[in-house]
Amino acid sequence: MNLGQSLFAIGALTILSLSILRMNNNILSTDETVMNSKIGILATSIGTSLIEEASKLAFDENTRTDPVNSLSLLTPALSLGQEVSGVFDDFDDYNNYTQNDTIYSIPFRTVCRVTYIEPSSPDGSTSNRTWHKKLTVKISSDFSRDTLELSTIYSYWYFR
Amino acid sequence: MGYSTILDILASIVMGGILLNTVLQLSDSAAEKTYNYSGELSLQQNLATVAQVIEYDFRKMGYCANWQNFPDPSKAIAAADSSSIKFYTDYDNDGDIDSIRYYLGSTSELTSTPNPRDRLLYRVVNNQTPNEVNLGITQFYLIYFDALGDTVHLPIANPGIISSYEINIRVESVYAYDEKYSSAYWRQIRLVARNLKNR
Repeated sequence: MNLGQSLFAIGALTILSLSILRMNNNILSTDETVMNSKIGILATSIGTSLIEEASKLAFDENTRTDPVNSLSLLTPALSLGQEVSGVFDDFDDYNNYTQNDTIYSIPFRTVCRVTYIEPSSPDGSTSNRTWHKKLTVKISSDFSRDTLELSTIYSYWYFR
Repeated sequence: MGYSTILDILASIVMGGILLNTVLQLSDSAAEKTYNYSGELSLQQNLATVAQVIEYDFRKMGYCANWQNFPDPSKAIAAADSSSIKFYTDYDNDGDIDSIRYYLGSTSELTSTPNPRDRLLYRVVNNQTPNEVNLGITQFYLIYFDALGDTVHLPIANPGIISSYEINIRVESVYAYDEKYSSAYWRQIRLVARNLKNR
C-alpha cells in the first residue's frame, strides 16, 4: 500500500469514526430528553399532590374553627408558616416547607412558599394581608436540569 | 501473487469485516432507538391521556349540581379496592347523582398485543355498558387514607372513612423492539369531595 492509499484509508476511517461519534451523541441527547420528560411527569405528580394536600386545609390559622371578617385578624405576612413544627393545619403552614421524595430511585426535592397576593397582580406577592394566598411549589431533581414550578391560589370564603 | 499481497488481502478482508460489523450494529442501534423513541412518545401521550380522563372524573367525586340530592359527602365512595373504585358524582351536571366505577381487567383480555402485562381499564357509568381504555396500562393501584392520613387497609368495609387516596398508574409501550418495553409512571394524591370540604 503506497502513501496515497494509506491516506485515503485513514481519511475514510476518520470520517466513519466521526459519524459514529455524532450518532452516539444524538442518541444520548435524545435519551436525556426522554428521561427529562419522564422525570417531569413524576415531578408534576408530586407538585399537584402537595397542592391538593394543602388545599384541603383551612385558609388561615385563625379560620380553622371560626369565621373571620377582618383582614387584621389573619396571620401577618411575615408570620406565615407552621405554628407548631410538623403540624399542618392551615394553608400557609406550607410556607418554607421542604420535602424529599424518592420515586423509582430518582430523588426529588420540593420547596414551597406561601405569600399573600393582590387579585390585581396574582404573579407577585404583597406584604399586606389579603383574602388570597398563593402557594408556589418548586420541584427539582439531581437527575434533571430543569426545576418545575407549580402554583395555586387559595381564596378565603365562608359559607353561611 | 506474492506472499505479502496475500497478507494484504487477508488483512483487508478482516478490517473490512470489522467495519461492516460496526456499521451494521450502528444501523441496528439506530433502528432500535428510533422504534423506542416513537414508543416513548406514544407512551407518554397515553399516560397523559389516562391521567386526564381519571382526573376529570375523580375530581368531581362527591359533587352534585343540586347539593340537596347529595347532602353527605362522606358517602361519595361506594366501594373501594386496590384496583377498583366506585363513587358517586354528578358527571353530567344535571342535578342527579350518578355512579362511576373504574376497574382494571386481566392480562388475558389483551393477548392481541405483544406486551404480556398490559390490561384494559374499564369505566362504567351507572348501569351502562363498560367502556374500556386500551392505552398500555400495566398498573392501576389505589391506596386510601383516612382523615388523619393513615393508610386504610383492605378490604374496606366502610368507605366513608376515606378522606384521600393515592392513584398509581404505570403505562408501558404496547409494542417494543426486542421486547424491551418502556414504561412511565404517574402518582397522584387526591381528596375525596374536595369542593364540599369546610374551610
